Amino acid sequence: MTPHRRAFVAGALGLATVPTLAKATVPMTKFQVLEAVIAAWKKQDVEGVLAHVTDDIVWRNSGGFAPAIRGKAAMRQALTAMAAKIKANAWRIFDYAENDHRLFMEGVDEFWFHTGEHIAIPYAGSLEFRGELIHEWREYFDGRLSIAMKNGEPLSDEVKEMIGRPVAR
Amino acid sequence: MARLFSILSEVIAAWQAKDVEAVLAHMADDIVWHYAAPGMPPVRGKAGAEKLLRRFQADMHDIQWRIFNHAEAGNLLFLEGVDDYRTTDGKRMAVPYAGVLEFQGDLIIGWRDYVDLGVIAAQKAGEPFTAQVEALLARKAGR
Repeated sequence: MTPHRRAFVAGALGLATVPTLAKATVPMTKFQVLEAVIAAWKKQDVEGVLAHVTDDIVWRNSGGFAPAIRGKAAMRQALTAMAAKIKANAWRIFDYAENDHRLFMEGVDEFWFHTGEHIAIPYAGSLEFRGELIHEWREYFDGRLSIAMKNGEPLSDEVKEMIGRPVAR
Repeated sequence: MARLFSILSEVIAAWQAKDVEAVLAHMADDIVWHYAAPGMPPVRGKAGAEKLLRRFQADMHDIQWRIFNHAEAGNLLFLEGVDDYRTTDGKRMAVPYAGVLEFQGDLIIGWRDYVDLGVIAAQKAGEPFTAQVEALLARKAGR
């Protein structure tokens, strides 16, 4: 039975009216976990993001050009530093696929700095889960594009086309 | 083996055998191929794809293209892998990437490989692989 089907059955049985039981019987899909992370980050709620990762998370957020960020404490530090610089973000996912303990995603990290620069980096990545928590996070993109945008260069037509796709539901 | 991944496995086998026609046989006429997303513009159409394949193959030897993980949803195949090969002048290139392939029936109509062009430039310049690239390469290839 899929998690969605379980949710439907739980709802039909009235389990949703018993919060602890509903919580125990309706696990989040991996995509729902990602949606919760995105919702938290939209509010720049660092602890809301960290609630969905393991203590020993390995976060490869640089497309291969920088070392991985290891552990929740280091991720907290990185996210807190990012949140201080970012005025608003429109991180969104276009497509995804799940298998037993992994979620693949294609999306865009789009955000605006307080200083005015507009960054929009299309990327693909994968999240590896331990239960409902993310324990490895890998994103692939062109780091040079990120640097160019941070220097104020406009988005290319290719980037605009890639980020203009409908968001996944 | 999952359906779309089995088609990709045929593409990989053809690519490693340098059989350009067999690779093209798996592409739709109106394929949009982002071979280095998001930094480079895509190649559009099979004729453009053929030109690119022939250019790549002229400088790619001992190709060890492998896939670490994959998953499918509808007509989409997601994967993580590495393009691992030697250039004509003997340099080893090994570029970790994530890709998304869109299928129309059994044919690939959209192909987006997300890579870091800075990593490629550093390897082409003869710089040693970074620790993070080595870590990504060390994973066991998936089935």
